[in-house]
Order: sequence, then structure tokens, then C-alpha cells
Amino acid sequence: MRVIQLLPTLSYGDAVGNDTIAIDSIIKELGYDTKIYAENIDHRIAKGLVKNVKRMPELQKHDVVIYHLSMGTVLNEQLSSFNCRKLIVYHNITPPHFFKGYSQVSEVLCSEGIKGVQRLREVAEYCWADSAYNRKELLNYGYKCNIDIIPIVIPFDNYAKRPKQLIINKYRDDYVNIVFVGRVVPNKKQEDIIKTFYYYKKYINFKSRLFLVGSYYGMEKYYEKLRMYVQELKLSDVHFTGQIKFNELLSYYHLADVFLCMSEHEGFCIPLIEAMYFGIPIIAYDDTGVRDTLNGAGFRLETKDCIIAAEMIDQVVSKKEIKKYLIDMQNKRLEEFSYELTKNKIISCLKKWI
Amino acid sequence: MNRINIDQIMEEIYMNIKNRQYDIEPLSFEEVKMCQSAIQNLDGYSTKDFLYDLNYIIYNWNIPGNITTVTSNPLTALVKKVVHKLTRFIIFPLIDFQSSYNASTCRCIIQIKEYMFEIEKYKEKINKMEMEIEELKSQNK
Repeated sequence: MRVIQLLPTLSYGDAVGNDTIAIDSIIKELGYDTKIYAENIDHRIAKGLVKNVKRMPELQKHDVVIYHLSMGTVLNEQLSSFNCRKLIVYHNITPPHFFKGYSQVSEVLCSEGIKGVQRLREVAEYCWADSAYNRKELLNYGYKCNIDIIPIVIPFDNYAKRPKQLIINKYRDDYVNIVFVGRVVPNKKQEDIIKTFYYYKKYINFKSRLFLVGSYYGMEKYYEKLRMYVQELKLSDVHFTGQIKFNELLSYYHLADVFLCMSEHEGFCIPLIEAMYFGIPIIAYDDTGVRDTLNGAGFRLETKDCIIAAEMIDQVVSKKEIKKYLIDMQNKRLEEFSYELTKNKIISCLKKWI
Repeated sequence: MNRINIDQIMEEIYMNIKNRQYDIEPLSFEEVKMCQSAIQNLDGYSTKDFLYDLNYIIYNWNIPGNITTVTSNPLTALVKKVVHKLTRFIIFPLIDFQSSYNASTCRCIIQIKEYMFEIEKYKEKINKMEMEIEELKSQNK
């Protein structure tokens, strides 16, 4: 029996890629013959670790395919033709309406992705969902098979690496640093973060800055509109970092006084876990996958109100007891995402099913 | 872990909101007019932005001709395939032409980058030499 992991794109350092590689090593530990196949492979991935899907061997009835589902791709169609056992890992697909007017390609890919998820309900024999929110989505799409919730495997060891000192030296001062990490994409609602920052800077604390950390490749229209928004609001101290190196990312986490997330659609949201790891108090709009990942931790916004969010930042920054309480709660939640716990869950679920 | 009183904090927040007299809506994101061209929105030279865009150009100069069209409907897939095959004799040469144009542009910009960095090095050298001259001048006085 072979265990094949299949996904459209294996990018270096992204959540799905890290999860796939971590699952691969766990399966290897279990003694199974396993391999990863992808349509697109990031050139930074170690050679030999992932093979092109065209080189995938013909699968037999007793083989297992673990398919990572996160976008619209022809693999969604091909999966049903494989004569083997099928496990779908659902990482969620962003609703296409978010991309309207910004990226037609993303709109089409997400729209086709959702259709693919719906069709695969007949194909999936067993599913893993990153969060309860993702599980609920699969149930809403009519999935009848067993669906277990298994969080994304997080490489915590990487976070202990050295940050880029130059960035820390540049911005470590008496300013309040508000940080959000995530691709510049419309569903993450960076405009609401900017608006919250506007209120905080104008009415509460002028000595503050905002870092929007994340790549905007493919989302140039949205990025330009965000920049225009910053200009129109006459806001200073808003920094778009674009795509940055890992040690630079660590620097922003080291600098952060508050992690602010106003995203309206997340399947899991790894940056929340990262903020927990770095002991940064989180203020987040409590919706979709964010709600599951926080599960009561962090300072949560029930409704989208940027003025309340700005006031929350003030409370967290100015009151030590609130900050301490939030960090304690976050640390408690973080324990539930430990590598060992997730690994054990993967092993028990795999053994049970295989 | 000492619990905090969320209700009390929220009460304080609402009180602060009342006292600070916020603008209800300074400018909504929807009202922002999209810039016609990203180029218009440049505000001065930035090495970081330059390298960021250059990196994008380096990895994307080549336009792939075989972009897979994702579609759920088999009939649409067939139609798309037929259209793709019927138009490739026009599209492919155009793609090749654009790709080679992109490649040349890309090489030019890389050359400019190298030249700029060389100038930067000379600038540093000149600064250093100027400082040394000044130092020698002051020693000779």
C-alpha cells in the first residue's frame, strides 16, 4: 500500500505546504511508502521531496490518496478517476465574491474550487478539516463521510530562529506597533485594519504605526486601492512590507505590541498562532475560522466596528492586567496546537482509517 | 490567571467613545477611486519597491501558452479546448513575441539595476575619498 499526498501547488513556507511536508514525515515514521505529488512545485523546495503530478504512478485499489483541497484546479476533476482510497484534507476556499473587481483569475479559481468541493462529496471516503468552521462548510456542501478536525501542523521550531536585527533596531522605540500578517487579499480586509489604525492614531495615540506584513502579488489592484485609502485618510506610519524573508517576518512579530486581525474569511489563520507564540495580545474579528483558532482566547470583536477595535487596542496597550490576561489565555490555547498533539491526532486518525 | 471583567472594560470603551467624539465615517474604502495605473501612484524612488517589482518581473516575464482552464462543466471544457486549439496559431506567436519582448525588457532593467548599484559603490568610494582629502587638508594646516 502506498500513501500519496496530492496538491495543486506546493509553495515554500506556506501553510498548506508546511502541513503537507509535516504529514509526509509523520507517515514515513509510521513506516508507509509515501510520496508528495504537486502540479506546481516551488523551486525552493528541497529536490526529491516533491514530484510533478505527471510522474505519479498508476494507483491501485488499496493505495491511499491524501488530497489537499484549497483551490480550483483540474486535480479536483481528476481525483474521482483514481481507483484508490481517497482522503480529502479541506483547507477551505475563499468565497469568490471577495475578489470581484480585483482579480478575475482568483474569482474564477475560487468559484471553480467551490464547485469542485461540492462535486467531491461523492468521491471523498474520509475528510480532515483544519477547523470546525471548515468541517461545517463540508457538511453544508452535503458531505456524508466521516470528517475529523485536525489543525494544521505548525513548525514552531522555526520561530526560535534569529530575527533581522536591523528592522528591530529601526522600529523599537516608544511607538505602539500594530501588526497584521497575511497576504494582501480582499477577504483579509486590510482596509478595516487601516481604518481602525486611523481612529487609534487620530484620537488615541499619535505615536503609533501599522505594519501590514504580506505579499500582494496578483492582488495589485487591491493593494493600490489600499495605498490610495491610506493617502486619502492622510495617514502616516502605515507600512506595507510586501513579501519578505522569514527572518524579517520574525522581526515584525518581535516588534508587535498588538496583533490586529479584521479578516472576514479564514479557514484557519496561522498568523494567529504565530502571534500567540510570540506573546502578542490579539484583537480579532471573531468570525469564520478565526473563531475556532482563537476558541475564546484574544480580545474578540463580535461586530465589525473599527472604533471599538481602536479602543480595544488602547485598553490592551495601556492596561497591563488586560495584556497579561490575554497572553495567559493565548498561551493556554497555544498548547492545544503543539506539534506532539497534532501529530498524535494525525497518527490515530490515519491508523483508524487505513 | 486573574480574570478580567469584560463587561466593565466594554463599558469603559463605550464611555471613551462618547468622550472622544469620533467621526462616524471619515471615508469609506468603497469611496476610494481606483488608480488607473499603478505607475501614477509612485511617490518617489524606493530601492525596496524597485527590487520588489523587479523580482516579480524576473519570475513572470515568460507567458505560459498552456494555461489550464479550470471548468466544472464537461461541455464548457470541450468548447474551451476546441477554441484553444483553433486559436493557438494566432495566439502562440503573439505570446512568443510578448515573452521575448518581456525578456529583453527584463534584461534591460537588470542591467539598470547593476549599473545603479555600481554607481552606489562609486558614490561610497567618492564619499570616503572626500573625507580622506578633508582629513589630509586639516592635517596639513
